[in-house]
Amino acid sequence: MVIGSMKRLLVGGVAVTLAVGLAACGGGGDSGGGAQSVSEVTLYSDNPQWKDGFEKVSVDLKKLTGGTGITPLSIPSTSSYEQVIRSSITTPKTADIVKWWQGYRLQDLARTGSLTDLTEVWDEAEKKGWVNPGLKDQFTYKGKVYGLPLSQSNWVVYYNKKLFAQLGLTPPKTWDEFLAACEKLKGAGAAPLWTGQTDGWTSFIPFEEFLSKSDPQFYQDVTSGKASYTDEKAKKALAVWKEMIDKGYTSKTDIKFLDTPAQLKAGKLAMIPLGTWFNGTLSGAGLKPGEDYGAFLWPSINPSAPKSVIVESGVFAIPSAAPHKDAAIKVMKSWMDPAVQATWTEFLGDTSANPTVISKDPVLAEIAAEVKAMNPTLLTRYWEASPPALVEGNVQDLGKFMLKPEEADSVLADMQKRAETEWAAWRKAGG
Amino acid sequence: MSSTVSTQPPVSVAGSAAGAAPRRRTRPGGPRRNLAAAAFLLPAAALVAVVLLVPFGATVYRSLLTDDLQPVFGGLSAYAKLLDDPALSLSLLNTLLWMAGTLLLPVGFGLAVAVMTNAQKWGRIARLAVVLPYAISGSAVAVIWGYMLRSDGAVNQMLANLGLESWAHDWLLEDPLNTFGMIMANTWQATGVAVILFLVGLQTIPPETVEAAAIDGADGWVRFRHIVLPQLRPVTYVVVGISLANALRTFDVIWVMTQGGPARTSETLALSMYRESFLLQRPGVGSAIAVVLTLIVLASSWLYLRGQGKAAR
Repeated sequence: MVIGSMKRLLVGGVAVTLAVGLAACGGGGDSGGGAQSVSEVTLYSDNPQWKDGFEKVSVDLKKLTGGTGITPLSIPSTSSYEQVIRSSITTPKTADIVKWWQGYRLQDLARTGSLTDLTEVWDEAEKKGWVNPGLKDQFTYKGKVYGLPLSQSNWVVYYNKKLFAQLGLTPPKTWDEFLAACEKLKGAGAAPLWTGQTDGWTSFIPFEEFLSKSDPQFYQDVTSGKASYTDEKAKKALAVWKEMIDKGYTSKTDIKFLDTPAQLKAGKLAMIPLGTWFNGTLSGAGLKPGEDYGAFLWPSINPSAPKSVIVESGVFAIPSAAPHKDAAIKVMKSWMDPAVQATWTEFLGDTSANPTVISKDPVLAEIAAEVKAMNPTLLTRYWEASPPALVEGNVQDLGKFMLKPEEADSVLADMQKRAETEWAAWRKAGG
Repeated sequence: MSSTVSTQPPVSVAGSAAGAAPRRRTRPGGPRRNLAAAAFLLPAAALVAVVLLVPFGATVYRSLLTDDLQPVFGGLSAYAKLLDDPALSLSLLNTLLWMAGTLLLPVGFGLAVAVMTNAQKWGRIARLAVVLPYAISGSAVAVIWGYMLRSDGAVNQMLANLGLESWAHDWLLEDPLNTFGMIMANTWQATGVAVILFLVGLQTIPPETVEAAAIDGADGWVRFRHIVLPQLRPVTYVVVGISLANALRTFDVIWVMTQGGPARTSETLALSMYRESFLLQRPGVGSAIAVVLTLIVLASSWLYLRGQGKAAR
């Protein structure tokens, strides 16, 4: 009797387990299937602070696409985000749209065949004047476009406006003025310039700026594998950096970039060198653009060198295995629409890649005017300017330099050795 | 103490059963019974094979392929890269540091806290304070310790307030201080489980053995050294085993606190495996590291189990 009831219990238990399991599988199938019209496509990014912006944009997109919006999901660490996307992009569990990076980073994904060809979408947007044709190369691999720009960021130096005013400082126009400002800020007890490495990628920021502001052509040559890291010009750039470290003009290197707004607000930090995409984060932290903080373009170290600005654009791409690929393409066709871009860039606090959309933010407007007046050479950010494995390795070496600036020569030698290996690997793989 | 003794009848039964050796084992049944036993074992064995052995086989196979877009057989080239790369040698050294640190600290502190609080009235409160961090996730522990150890963090501020500025360091930026700091963070969390296990061990010790030693004039330390400690041996093996496994798979604390940096100086093999596989896109080298890490785990587990077997005999 007891055995009989135990058996029934066991059979019942197994049946329930199977039913739950099957239901779970069935649920997964439903969410992945595209039998009915799709009202939301999933969008992955590495920035949780963009959630509200995506939700606002989704309302505009629904109007334009006839009912398809976006559901944003984020993984708030760039390194973890990359790993998740890379390992899931060929599976049906990937997102419909993924945020990625331009240049070699996009090529790296595109050459594995895991991205959808968006040439038609790009051409259509270009025909309407919704995207700057000059950006196309940064989104292209072997003649095909694989992404659309998220925004168009210029790399600037944010500064604590109140602190500058207290000390009688104005945004520096020359390198000497910049160094003089650092000295004065240091005297006032603030860390003049934030330089960090704990985030895993930020160590390239001073390197790319000191190198490109000394010789933009050399920066392009060294990042494209045509010049050596052991060249005198690279050594000089690290010498500039070392001098700044030795004089105490740089912050402690274990401050994460997302902790800098609080430090700027508290007056502990005076300047933050980041892209205009950070403008939204600063204002989101309660700092008023134009009042609490402003931004200026890096002055040239070598006055006779051509003016240059580092530019960067995040990318939206569609995985080949996207569960709702057609709906995602439909969304991308409306992404560059001025109505969508106006909402998006207003939220983001960054410049739109659609030249017809003008920002109302005072800091961005000032930078846009400065860029227009200067007419600088636009340089690709270091993160996207070389094959990813080379950049990932070199940022570690630059992190070492930040702690041991006296080892500049051996750091550059290691970077060059890696450049030779990784460029050979990139070319061998058909890059 | 008295309440502890009165709540132990099942334990003392188990203790006397163990002491009644050599016991006659009940004879196993015939082939039918063996077959039934095999049927019960099969699901577990199949599960281990599917989720452990098959992926391990795949990892070994992947470690023999190159890291090109179209991988080809590369022999042991991935393993050779492992030996060549100074960052990976340092990673191996850090892994050994973590093993040593995790064996000494959580096990040592766990034993000390358990023994010192077991007989005390206020022991529960003290134990709660030590055990509580175990309930926090590794990432949260890392965030808390990250804020404490960074250059403008709580530790340096406290040292400055005490007039000990010269003791202040960039704890997470200097090698090997960063690894030691993270081992401390891990100890703070992992001591809790060691305390719980040692307490269980202490409560299985038949009180009459301790009382007999006390009557014979053995004082605190002698009693602990010769009566308590030998009887804690079985539970010590469990604690050491858990600590070893935890040390070798530590990832979250390091990833959140330093990402293995600066310049890969605080990486362990678990982190190197992640970096090579997913960030540098070298699944061959990543798989080779995974295989080496598995071999280290197997070797240490084998040594440890062998020791346990001998001790049991």
